[in-house]
Amino acid sequence: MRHFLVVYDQSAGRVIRLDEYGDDRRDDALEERFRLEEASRTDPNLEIVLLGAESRASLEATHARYFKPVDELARG
Amino acid sequence: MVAEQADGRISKREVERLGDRLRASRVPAKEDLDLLQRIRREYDGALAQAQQVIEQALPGVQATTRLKTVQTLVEKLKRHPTMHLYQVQDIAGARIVQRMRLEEQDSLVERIADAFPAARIVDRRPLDNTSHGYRAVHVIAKVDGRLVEIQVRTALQDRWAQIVERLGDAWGRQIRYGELPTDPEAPVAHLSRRRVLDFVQTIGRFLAVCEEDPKVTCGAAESALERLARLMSQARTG
Repeated sequence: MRHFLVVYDQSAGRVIRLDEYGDDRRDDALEERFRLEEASRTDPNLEIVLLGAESRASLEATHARYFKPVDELARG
Repeated sequence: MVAEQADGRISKREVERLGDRLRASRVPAKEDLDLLQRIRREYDGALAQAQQVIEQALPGVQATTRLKTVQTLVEKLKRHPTMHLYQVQDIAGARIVQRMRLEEQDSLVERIADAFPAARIVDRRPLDNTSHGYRAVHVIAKVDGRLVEIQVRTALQDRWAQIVERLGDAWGRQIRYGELPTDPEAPVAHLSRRRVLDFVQTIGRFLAVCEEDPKVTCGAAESALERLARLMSQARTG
């Protein structure tokens, strides 16, 4: 299991930061997520999420919205 | 001083009071966000356990896990005035997406539910039970005293959900709950946001019918998705 810390700009529709952590660093990843949340509390446009997935490919398969515009999502 | 249970966890009453304060706040207080962070750590522990259960009971099934964002959690509490924070089912969530037929989805859901004692199944697939067009099956498991929502979606169900979520990023998250987009008459190529959302809802119904009725192919749904793709590509590139 890998842990992907994603900072996503909702209005721009793009990922502005993506950090990958090994499973042995789950706690570090969670702490960094909380730190980023606190730092960006005044910016509701930023979505900060920590996703656990087998690989980057798995992540993109289950959370495609972070990585593709609507036309590409519609084409599957 | 925050009331704790004997096991060091925040008490249910304290969680309930926190939820009420978050719901009532215009801007959540720092102390409340810090307390929420502590609660979310507890949920993360449950999520890690749920992930292990899935890996062991269903080898080869890949689930992506996540803790709900503070923003969407507070939005949920505001949308449901009588919901207690500890009743929120998807603070901790896992998502499984596979190319499968509905019968295969049923079978997978059953295997997941069997892996978690007393799991509850919420079937949002029937057209009269969707969540504003959203279709999937959710398994609500209780892990270490915390609820974990395991979303099980076919590839088609997920494709539709991702489209709506992505549109929600740009047009307002309220569209996920059946409300109008921000600036509903704003142009999208030769249509408006409102008309595009109506079209997306129609596509959702096409997908539901083609998944549920073996006599109906998904050709019409795929054609509609292609039309949507062309429209949005045109809108994006101007």
